[in-house]
Amino acid sequence: MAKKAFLAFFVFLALAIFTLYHSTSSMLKPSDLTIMDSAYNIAIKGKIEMIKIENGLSYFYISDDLNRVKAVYKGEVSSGEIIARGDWDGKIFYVKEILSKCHTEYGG
Amino acid sequence: MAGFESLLISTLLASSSTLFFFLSTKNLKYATISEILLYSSLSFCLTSILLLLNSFITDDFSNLYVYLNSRREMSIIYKISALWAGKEGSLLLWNFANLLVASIFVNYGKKDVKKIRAMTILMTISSTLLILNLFTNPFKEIPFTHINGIGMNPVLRTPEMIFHPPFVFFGYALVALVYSSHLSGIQDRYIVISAWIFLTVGIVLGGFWAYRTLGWGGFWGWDPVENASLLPWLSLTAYFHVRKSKEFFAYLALVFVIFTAFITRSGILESVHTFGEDPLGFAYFAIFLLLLIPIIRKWKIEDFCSSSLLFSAMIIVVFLGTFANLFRNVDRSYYLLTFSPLFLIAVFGIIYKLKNSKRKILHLGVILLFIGSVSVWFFEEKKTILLDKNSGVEEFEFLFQNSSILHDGEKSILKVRISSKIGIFEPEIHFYDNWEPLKKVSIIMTPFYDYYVALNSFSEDFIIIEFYRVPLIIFVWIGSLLMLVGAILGARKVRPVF
Repeated sequence: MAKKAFLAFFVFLALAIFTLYHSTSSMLKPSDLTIMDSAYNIAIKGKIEMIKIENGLSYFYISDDLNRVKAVYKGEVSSGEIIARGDWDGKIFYVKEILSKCHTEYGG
Repeated sequence: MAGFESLLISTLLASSSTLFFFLSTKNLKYATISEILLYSSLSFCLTSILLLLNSFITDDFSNLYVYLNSRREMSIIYKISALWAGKEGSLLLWNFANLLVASIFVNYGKKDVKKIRAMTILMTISSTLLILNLFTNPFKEIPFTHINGIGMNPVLRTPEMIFHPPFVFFGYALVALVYSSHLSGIQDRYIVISAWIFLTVGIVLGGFWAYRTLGWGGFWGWDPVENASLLPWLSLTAYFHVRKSKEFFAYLALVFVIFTAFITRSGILESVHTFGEDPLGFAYFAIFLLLLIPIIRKWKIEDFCSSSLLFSAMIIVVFLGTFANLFRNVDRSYYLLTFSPLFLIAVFGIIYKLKNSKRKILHLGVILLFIGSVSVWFFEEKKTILLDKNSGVEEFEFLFQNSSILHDGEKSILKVRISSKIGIFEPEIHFYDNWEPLKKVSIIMTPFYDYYVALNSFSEDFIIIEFYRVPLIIFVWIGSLLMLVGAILGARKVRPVF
């Protein structure tokens, strides 16, 4: 077996691990957000509460056992547990994507 | 409760059969009795399945599993498929598949020491899974009978889901046979091809279901459970492309099957595939570790050729992402940046050797699958569009025409009609009492693009739709079909050696 192939294999694996390291994000809870000034492209896990729909936008709260944060999403949401990806400006969580339980991208 | 007793007897018979197969490795006179015990175990397992099926068909809601997965309004075909909609029933199906595969294997061809040894290993695996089924019992009763059940998750009520789990579980049973036979010195290509075909059908049906049902415009979401099902498939695919390290990949396939069982059944992940928390989930992790032993003992790096390295890299990339997903969110970009280049190298290799290839149809299928997958992963366009009633949107001339609501007993169906330059879209949202609303997508297929609309939000005056333009998805389906046809044609030329 050529040494070059093994070398390429290990270099590729090193690059893959580097890519993985930069492609993961931690799963936050609403309580974690309340102590942060801002955060971008994060995933948050919680329960949807008090949904209000106006002009195609859904306004709601995402809560955990201790705290809740305001959230807004272009589209419809329904109550229940969700994982949402978006940006936090210190007051409102702007949901870009909802990974609900019925979604294949829903991860742990 | 007769169902549980049947399962218990089946487990006892299978365990006894394992013991007698073990004794047969020293003295072949025990082989007949171990075989009879195996067939009896299979019969009792089948009885269990039929009794559970009867509970589903007769709406016996005193059975907890039936209550959770069935409803009176469900059609008979979905009542049958509800049998494998939860962890208890699906494990029962898997056990039946294991025993059936073992029975066919032992009954076919000569019975020598190698085969008896393979049967001992196979029956050890089957008996272990049967014992786990006793603790994940699908025959638990509830003290009172409900008038109606909760019902199967509506996302699973599709034709694909009738066939997807049986193919996957029979594929898993065949992978267990691949492991056992290789560990006993039987290298039978016929068994490996059969396992590969079953797994491929299962994966393709799963992808087709995800595309039509989940409303996110893709066929492969790099969901940890999807990935976990890809790992045994990749291991078996590697098996066909390597010369010296075949055993390594044969063993690896079963290790990944048990890894899949662990992540779907332990409750460590929450996904549409996950059956919820099972206190015995970590038993699968213990089996996973035990099955690793032959891999560690027989692994020789000098046996690895460039194909082995390429497939190993694919497997490692998918495994790392799946494993990382147990603790953190992994972005899809990771897979696109790492897996796609490897897939490209594999396709270059195929094109280079296609002229002399014995499996031209299969490899042509892989090339089409690659073109389709890469097109969807990198060039799919997605737009969220707000449509006011009777005022169009310029691009594609979308026009929200009307909406209607129908009731069919179990659910309310909201249907909207959207005209466009491409054609008429009629996406729906189904509202259930017990379940989250289910979006039914509307797809217009053309040779180069699928136009795909999912209804996101609605009111009397406006709707919000998710619109996808999915390029060359047809290549994914045609490529997969060609791969299967090529594999089946190839399997016809191979004679079983066992």
